[in-house]
Amino acid sequence: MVRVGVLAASGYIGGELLRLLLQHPEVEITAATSRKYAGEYVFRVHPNLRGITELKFSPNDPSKLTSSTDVVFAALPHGESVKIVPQLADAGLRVIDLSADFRLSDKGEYPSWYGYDHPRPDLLEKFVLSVPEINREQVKGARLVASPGCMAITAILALAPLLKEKSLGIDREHIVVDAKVGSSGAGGKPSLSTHFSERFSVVRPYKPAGHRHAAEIEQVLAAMAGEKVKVSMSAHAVNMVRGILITSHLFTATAVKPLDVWKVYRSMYTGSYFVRLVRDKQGPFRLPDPKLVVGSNFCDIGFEIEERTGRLVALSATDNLIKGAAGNAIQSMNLMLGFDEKTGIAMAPLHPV
Amino acid sequence: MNCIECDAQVAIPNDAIQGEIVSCKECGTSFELVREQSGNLFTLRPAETEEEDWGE
Repeated sequence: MVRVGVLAASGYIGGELLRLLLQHPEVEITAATSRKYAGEYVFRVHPNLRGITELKFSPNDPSKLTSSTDVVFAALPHGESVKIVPQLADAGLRVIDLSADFRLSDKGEYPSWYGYDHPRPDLLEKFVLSVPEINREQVKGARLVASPGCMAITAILALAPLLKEKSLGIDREHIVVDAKVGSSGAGGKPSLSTHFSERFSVVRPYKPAGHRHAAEIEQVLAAMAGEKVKVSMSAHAVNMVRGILITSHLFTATAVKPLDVWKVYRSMYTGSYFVRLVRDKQGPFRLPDPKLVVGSNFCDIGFEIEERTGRLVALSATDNLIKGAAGNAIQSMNLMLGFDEKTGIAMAPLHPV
Repeated sequence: MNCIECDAQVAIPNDAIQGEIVSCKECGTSFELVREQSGNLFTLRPAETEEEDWGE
């Protein structure tokens, strides 16, 4: 059994990592840390785990993790991870970081997007930004992995094949990513804006311009396109607990037909269990809907074409806590350790939910 | 036989008959089976489907 630790395990992503890892047949959780809840049973904070584990939270002590774990999932906030993860990396542990602190490969991007100078730029080139459906082979050989943001990975999976395929003639300067995300995307720490009376029923444009995830999306898409790509992103909080729907608008120089797009998606995702192409002519769920991926590691992708304006609309849906965070991180671990990438995370989505 | 909408393979039952409706597993497009003049093979003709107003 592989010994795994979850750093900052009391948040929603930490809880989801624990839930999934407790059911993973190849791993044993040897540490779940929390500064606030050290000494407390995990199920007091994550009540869904009552009866499933007797695990207790331990303090955030990197030196203890190096002796008790082989792999560490770090679910610390941005800016905090970079203070602890380097010690784990330097000690030779395999690390999967879920913050943004190691996602961007260019240290020059950190001051503008995250407001700090990166203290360990030497580590940036050692971290692989893991989107297994796109860079599976790179992830297999990695010891240090950064998992993308939930909205970023949902957008990337829909957009990457389209940017890679030159014949579609996508305008790389004008890509619009519109995100709708459920309340768990804001984390477990309450605030006035997450208070039930203020949050319930909203369609709140909380970041109409300048969302940080645009940086990750641009980084991956530029690598796919082989040229610079510009992404304009708007994010909305909507009335769900889990789930993300990304509606991306692209403009094409040539007339694109549905069959062309089907072929592009299939060429990249055939054999990728966790990507499902959804463009159905029947039933109420004809295009991706977060409602149909909740509880799973799937990313559903679909599209529509508006010939009149030369617009290609790409749609993608994920469970923000699973494919958008914990599930993708575990899928990455599976690849790093040579397991089948579906191990422990192949569950079907819930329905109805 | 491939779907003319999405190019996925459309399964034709062994005991299929002229006029039978089959649908693409991948994209859900419905087709009517039309027997070719040679008599043995079928071609796919898009079947008429009722349009619905999905809340628009």
